[in-house]
Amino acid sequence: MGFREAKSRVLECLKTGHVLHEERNSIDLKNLFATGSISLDEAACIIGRSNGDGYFSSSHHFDNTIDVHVIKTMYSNQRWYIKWYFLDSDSVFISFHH
Amino acid sequence: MKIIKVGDTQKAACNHCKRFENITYKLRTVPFSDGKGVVKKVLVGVCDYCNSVVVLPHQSTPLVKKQLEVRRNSLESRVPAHMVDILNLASVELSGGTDFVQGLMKFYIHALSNNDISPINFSKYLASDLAGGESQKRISIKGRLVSEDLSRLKVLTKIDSTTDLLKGVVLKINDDVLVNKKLKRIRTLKTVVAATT
Repeated sequence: MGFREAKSRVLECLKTGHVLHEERNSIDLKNLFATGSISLDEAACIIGRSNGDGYFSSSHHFDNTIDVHVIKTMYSNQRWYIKWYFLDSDSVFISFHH
Repeated sequence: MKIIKVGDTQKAACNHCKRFENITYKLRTVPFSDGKGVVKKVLVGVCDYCNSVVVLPHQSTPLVKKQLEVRRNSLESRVPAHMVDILNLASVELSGGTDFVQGLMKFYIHALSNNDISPINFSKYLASDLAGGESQKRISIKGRLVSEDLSRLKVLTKIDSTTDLLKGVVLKINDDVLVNKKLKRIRTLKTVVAATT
């Protein structure tokens, strides 16, 4: 799956609210999306403005059939780092911070 | 918006088991990653194998945000008992009762952090005899600006400890209201009392 397809699919998840946030037994304060600091619409805006320049993907460490997607992009003078994978109809966000 | 119910199941990556595991959505009390505070009874996906919290559905994020705001807007510190007595006495002096203690602290923290009251020589209060003593009582302050004001005041005074800063504020109040009885300051505070209580 390339950047265009990953972006289109994640934007659809954000639009329909099919969103989960990965946690490690505690609520990760660095993940601004999980802490409610940014909304679904804001997340969609940040990802929507990204181009493919800061995108890469790699296999998930626990299952090499699943791709983990990473976008690094500028938005509101801040450099954002967004990392997620798709699971069934959901996007599972691992990181969302600047 | 996708809504998940208690008891729903799916698969997700469990970082404890280091594999994709079945998870079940449950209400749990989950701590923040810095160990300061928890979110009570929040819906999370729990690993069926190791019982770890694995995912937070997006519908739970407003509850997380609310709890974070409560945490940001409140401040608690343990101080020697006589500090609370000073605040009570100053509040009685200004308003006739102890209801104004929180307002008094917030007034000083805000005014000091904005240089409306000079924070220069603030550290002298911490060197005084009244700054000592076993911390046996608790000061609790809640307010939208408290945390932000306190951070600014820490920079201005170069005092990193919240407890030390609060002790300094109490002793500054003691100096202004009870010892030196600064009339202009007392008049301003009485106006605040009249407007807020």
